Amino acid sequence: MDTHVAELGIACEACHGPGEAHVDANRDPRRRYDLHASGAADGTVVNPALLDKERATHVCTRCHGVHRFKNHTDRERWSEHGFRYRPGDLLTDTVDIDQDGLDKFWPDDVVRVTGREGNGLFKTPCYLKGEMSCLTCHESHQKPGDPRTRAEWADDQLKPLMRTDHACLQCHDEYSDEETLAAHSHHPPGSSGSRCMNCHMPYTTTGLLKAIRSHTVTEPSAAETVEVGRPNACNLCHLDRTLAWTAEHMEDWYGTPQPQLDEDDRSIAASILWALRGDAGLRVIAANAFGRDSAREASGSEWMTPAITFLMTDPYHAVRYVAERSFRKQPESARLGLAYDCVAPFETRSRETLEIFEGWGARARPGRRSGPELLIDEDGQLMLDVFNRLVSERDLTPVTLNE
Amino acid sequence: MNPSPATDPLARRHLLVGWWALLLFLSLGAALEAMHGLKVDWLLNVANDTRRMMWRLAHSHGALLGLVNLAFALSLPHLGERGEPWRARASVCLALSTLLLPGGFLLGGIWIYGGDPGRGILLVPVGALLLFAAVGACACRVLRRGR
Repeated sequence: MDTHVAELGIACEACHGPGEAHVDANRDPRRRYDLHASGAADGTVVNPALLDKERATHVCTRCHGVHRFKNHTDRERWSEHGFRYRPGDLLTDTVDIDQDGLDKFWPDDVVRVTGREGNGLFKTPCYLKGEMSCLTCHESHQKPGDPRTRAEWADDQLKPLMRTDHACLQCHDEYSDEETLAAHSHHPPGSSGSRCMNCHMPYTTTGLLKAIRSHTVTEPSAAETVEVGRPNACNLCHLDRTLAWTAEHMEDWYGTPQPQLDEDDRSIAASILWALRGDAGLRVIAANAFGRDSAREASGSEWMTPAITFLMTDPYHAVRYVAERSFRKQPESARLGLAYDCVAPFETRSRETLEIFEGWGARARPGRRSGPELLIDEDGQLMLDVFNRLVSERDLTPVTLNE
Repeated sequence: MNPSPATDPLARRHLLVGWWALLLFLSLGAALEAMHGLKVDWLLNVANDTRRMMWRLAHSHGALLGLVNLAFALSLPHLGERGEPWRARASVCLALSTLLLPGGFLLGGIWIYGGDPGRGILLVPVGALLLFAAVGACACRVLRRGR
């Protein structure tokens, strides 16, 4: 085999481009120390951090994006000679960037699978109107002096503080004051509802056996749930609330017009609707939300057991896996000492989930939280007729969310 | 009769330098081992590879130069008479190299530029030249006295 591969996988040249001239030039120690002393950029190699936002983002989008060859000739050339794109170029000179497709995008072309974060960023106002690039929050090399462990840094390769509001405050510094931020978010200062990313980058992207934050920075609204089916940030935290509740609050607080809602959207918690009648993509997002600590704190958790248990019987392995992880946080999990296995035979799983279901019903007590929006009657029992109706309406469209 | 190391001031000076260099740079070795044991990021982080190499070199060069100083002190009685000018020159070269060589590595490792050591490393070639001069002088003397 006559191969010309120099580096396999994601190594230096994947992000920095061809390095031969850089290596040759820097054999001269005087040159290196001149650069150290002056702090000047080394022009012999691409440094993505010094590129403009578009070219910097294209470096990452080469892998973290959905794109296709412009024509058959380019595809043939790729198979014979490799990818023509080099860091520092515009990716769009080489390929067309896809921004639609049923298997990877929501109907409004917001990406819904992980590993395609570049596509998410391309639809973000912070990128389109501002200077945001991948490197605004992420770094491919941990900086010296970073107090985090290697493992902490490697989890998402974020710059220090980029899990906090600091990520957004780099540009939106008008919200650096907690009181101003609380007035904007209508949530108590310091609460999870007052954290920028929880509202503007909700967990609506699936992959890595969980849901991850959307990389399209958006404003939450009930309309996005009605019109494109994507869970909104409000109901991903307030799992016990209806879509109507969200629509009313968004109108009160921000003047957002209320969308047309059907009777279920007005009377049943949005998370339950996603879990029981959504497609597999929605169900895995709901399963993930049921396990998020901040959402459980905001919504209570005992009422979730029937919905989570139902998701543990899902035909999709990924949904069952995520649902089981959320179930482990329910009190029933410790009580039953359940050895549930999401890939066990159907009969085994059915027996175990039925046991959970019946156990939850048997422990009904007057004080148990109830309400039609949670499908729990005043006796603390599940409203099975509505529950079964929603299950019968489940969207059985086959879903393939390739990471 | 050749003077003994005990009575030759030059030899005594190098005994002093040699033993103290050994004490200092063996202590540095112990400190490096302790930092390995405690997994100190400042030494062991991948990004600090240059510092780790520089300080290892400081430790090894310092300890070995301590031994060279002791060898010089013990060799002096066999290499010539007191007052011969080469002795003073070799002594100064050796003493300075004992300071500059490991010192350069040590300083070069404190501030680093990625894969390059700090500017303290510039002391190292100077120290190396002085060491060559001292060792060369001794080697020539041994050769000359052997004839």
